[in-house]
Amino acid sequence: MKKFSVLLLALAMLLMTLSVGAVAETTERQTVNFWYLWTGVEAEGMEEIIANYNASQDVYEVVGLSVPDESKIVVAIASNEGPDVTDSFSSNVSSYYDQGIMLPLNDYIAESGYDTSAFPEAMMECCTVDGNIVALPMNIINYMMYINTDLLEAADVEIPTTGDELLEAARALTQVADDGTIEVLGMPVYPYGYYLDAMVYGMGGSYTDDGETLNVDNEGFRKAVELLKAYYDEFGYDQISAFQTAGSWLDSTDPFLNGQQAIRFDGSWMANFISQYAPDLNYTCLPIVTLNEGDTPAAVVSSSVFYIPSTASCPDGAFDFMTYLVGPDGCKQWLMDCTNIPAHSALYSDEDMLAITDFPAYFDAIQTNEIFVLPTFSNWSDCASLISDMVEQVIVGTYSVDECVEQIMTEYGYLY
Amino acid sequence: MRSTGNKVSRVGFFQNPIKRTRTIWGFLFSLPWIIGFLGFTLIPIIQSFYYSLTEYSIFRSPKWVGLDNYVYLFTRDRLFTTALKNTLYMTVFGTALTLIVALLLALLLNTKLRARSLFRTIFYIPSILPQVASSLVWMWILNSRWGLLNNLLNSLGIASVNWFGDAAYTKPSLIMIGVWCCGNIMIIFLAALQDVPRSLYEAAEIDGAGTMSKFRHITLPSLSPSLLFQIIMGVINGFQYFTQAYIISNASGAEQRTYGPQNSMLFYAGYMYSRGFVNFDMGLASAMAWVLFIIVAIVTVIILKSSRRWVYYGG
Repeated sequence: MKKFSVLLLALAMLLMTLSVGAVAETTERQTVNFWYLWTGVEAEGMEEIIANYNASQDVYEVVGLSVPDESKIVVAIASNEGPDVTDSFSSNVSSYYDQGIMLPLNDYIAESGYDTSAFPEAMMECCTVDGNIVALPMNIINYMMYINTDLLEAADVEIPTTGDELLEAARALTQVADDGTIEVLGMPVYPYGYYLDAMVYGMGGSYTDDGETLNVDNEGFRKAVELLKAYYDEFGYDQISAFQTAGSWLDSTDPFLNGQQAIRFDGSWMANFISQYAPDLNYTCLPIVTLNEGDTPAAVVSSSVFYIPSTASCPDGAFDFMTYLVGPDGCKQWLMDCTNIPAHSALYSDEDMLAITDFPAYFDAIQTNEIFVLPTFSNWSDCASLISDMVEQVIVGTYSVDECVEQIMTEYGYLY
Repeated sequence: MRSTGNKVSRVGFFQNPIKRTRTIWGFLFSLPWIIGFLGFTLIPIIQSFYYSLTEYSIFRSPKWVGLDNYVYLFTRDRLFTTALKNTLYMTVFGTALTLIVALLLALLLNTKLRARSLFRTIFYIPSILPQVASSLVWMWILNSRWGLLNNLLNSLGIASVNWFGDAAYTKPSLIMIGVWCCGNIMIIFLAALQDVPRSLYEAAEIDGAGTMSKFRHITLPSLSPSLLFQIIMGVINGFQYFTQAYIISNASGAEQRTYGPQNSMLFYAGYMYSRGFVNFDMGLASAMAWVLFIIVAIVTVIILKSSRRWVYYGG
């Protein structure tokens, strides 16, 4: 009898344990760790997306963490301690995939029937390596030409549409003090790094022919550098450089926001900063100039992308969250708050989006202009640095434009 | 007899339970440090040498390439020599100027100055400020348009200087920031100055020595051990120069020139960091680390050898 009682008790305890386990299994959600590069207001927006996603379903629980140092994320992934989903820039996609950091998404896409055709072709090109889709884009980073219309009218200058007209307009718009100091910068060489990419592709040039190797030996590249050189020769490297280092990008000392820069190449976020620092500034936002009158404007784009690291512990949940994140419901509010252009085409006709300053111009550019993607091959960051250094040598007079092209191609052969 | 004695002693050790227990306990207490040293210092050093002979990106297994990384650095890497030259410039001129200013300040603060403690505090404070904060403050002081220093120069009738936009001025600007933070060195010199016996100065005065003569024949020799220490530390820190250049050349944002105009703010440690943690070329970065180690070791040995001629130890 005693033995029977003990057996009964043990059985009851086993059943209880099993039932508790079963209940726990049905209620416990799988954790998906999401690390993102954003901070501040943008990070708060990310947390809102996470909260909305968590409230929308009961299978996964996304836990967000702001990690602005990308190398920290990559090292964590290599150490098998990384997140299940994270973000980067399209320029890193090829390199990361080659290193084995990114998980191919083809199987997940095929299994779930996820429609990638909702993204512009160029954006999916950013996220594809060797035929494998390895990331999904959230926004489109595209540069447009911002013109201070008050300065333009005061100088009685027409809006430039070609590269040559841009140089002429820049000459007329630049204001120089008696001591040679530049008071108003005419050419869009602040921020310095935004000029070249926009102009090379705007002039019909490119950094690559085959998408896999560097090649700058084309008319568009030469023209973009020639125009730059002509402007620097006229107003002086020292004076332009002094102007460039005086202000900080997108704060109260930014020259465009202070009315000290007539023409600027920059992104869709400008509207936010103009309303914050210079609400009375009169400006217009147009596509980048072309080589010849009547050419179709061209834009070079990149993107913030999301990917699943190869060491993710919950890739199913990561994919589910990622598709929500880049979809129209997930990121709409974030994109609107941060004035980022959506990659998902469903939002191009969204009334709320169209009501945002400059967005119609960006949507029009994306849908009607020629869109190119910045190179994504593995050593692109070294190539970009090489191009920037050699163009600087043209500006300071060490090389001619032809020598610059030759030097870039020679040094390219030596890259690691 | 001697060998027998040793043998007896060793046998004594193994047979003496107190000695044996003490040795084991001693070893156990040292073990945390030994493990730490092996795990975090010695093994990583050996590993880094091995990686320097491989193509390694932390995601894939290292691939043996022999001396290719070293050959690449010295024959094909266009930025390696620029980084090395810039670093040598900072090391030589930065260290020299910092030591001179620190010594002058220490001499000044060693005199019977009114409010001496206040001045000591004022000159010491910059050295305890976070480098990031002080770099950002200096960016504004040296701003080409609205900077305090340029305003001061303009008021004296001197034209503005483009401190961080002109390749000729970027390194002198960084040296100026470094000199501003010389409080730590100044304190060590000050302590050394206070150790110089008064009797030496009194004897020299009796012999008719002037201020310069006393400085040359008493102060400098007395300070020479501290000077040697500071030169070695300055050289090592100079070769590892990173923070201020990294912050200043990146703070303007929006893809301005990464390493300042014409790569004039590209320093060895920054380039090594970029190779390792931006490009993930860990093999190449490890090779750079070993080249740096060898350079620092050679320079340190040269300084130590030369010190026999100019360093005087009391007694």
